[in-house]
Amino acid sequence: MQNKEDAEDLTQEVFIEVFHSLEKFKQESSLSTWIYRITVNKSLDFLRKKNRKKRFGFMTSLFHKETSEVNFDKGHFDHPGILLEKKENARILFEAIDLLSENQKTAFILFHVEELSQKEIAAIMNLSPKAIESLIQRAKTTLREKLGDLYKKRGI
Amino acid sequence: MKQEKWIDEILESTKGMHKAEPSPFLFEQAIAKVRSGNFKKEHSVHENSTLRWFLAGFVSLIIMCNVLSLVKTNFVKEKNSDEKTASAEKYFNNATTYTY
Repeated sequence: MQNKEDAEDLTQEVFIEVFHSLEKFKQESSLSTWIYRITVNKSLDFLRKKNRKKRFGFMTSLFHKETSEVNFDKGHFDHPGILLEKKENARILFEAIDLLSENQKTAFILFHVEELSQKEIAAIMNLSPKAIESLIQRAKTTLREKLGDLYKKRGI
Repeated sequence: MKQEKWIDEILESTKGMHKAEPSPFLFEQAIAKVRSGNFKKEHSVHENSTLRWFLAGFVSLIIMCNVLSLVKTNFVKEKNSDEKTASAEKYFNNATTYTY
């Protein structure tokens, strides 16, 4: 979530979902894995919904100029936990992460931002550790490509 | 080389980051939502609207099928009647030829 309000809304939704589904928890995985799974699913749903709204907003703005008041531009995201001297670089990284596919994005964030092990990520995403390793690798390759393009475009 | 260094710096920018702190009232707000049962209502409103859109789509599909079949039937009827008229005319012409 690249927005504080969205992140807080989602946290509440996850909390409520956990509260309501606690009896469905079968203890096949650890409680934290289960909560992570709910969080990942909710986040992806939220992003999909947001993207649908974005597309709809774009379509309506094509036909009715006056409805395009809602600004769907991303805006810059500053993660509050990033060290000050790395803020600019992190902002670029999060913009690039946003361009990854859902699975690559999830695996990369859980590994590099949440600092979970590949085994834990595999349990959360219901995939094998090997698949997670390859997802992270592919995510890195894609990010390198995107950042390379950006480097050339900016003429740094 | 310079580009690779820049990319590495970007990729390593999350190192040493801390977890984001939620607002101090977040937990209370979530508890309040659970207690008031607002969440269930929000959920059911969402489900209702999804169902409504699904039904709207379904009904419009049925209407579209009906209109298409009506148009097709009319077209076939017109074609048949044209063919009947043509054959009747042909028969009439032939018949008149015989009388003469």
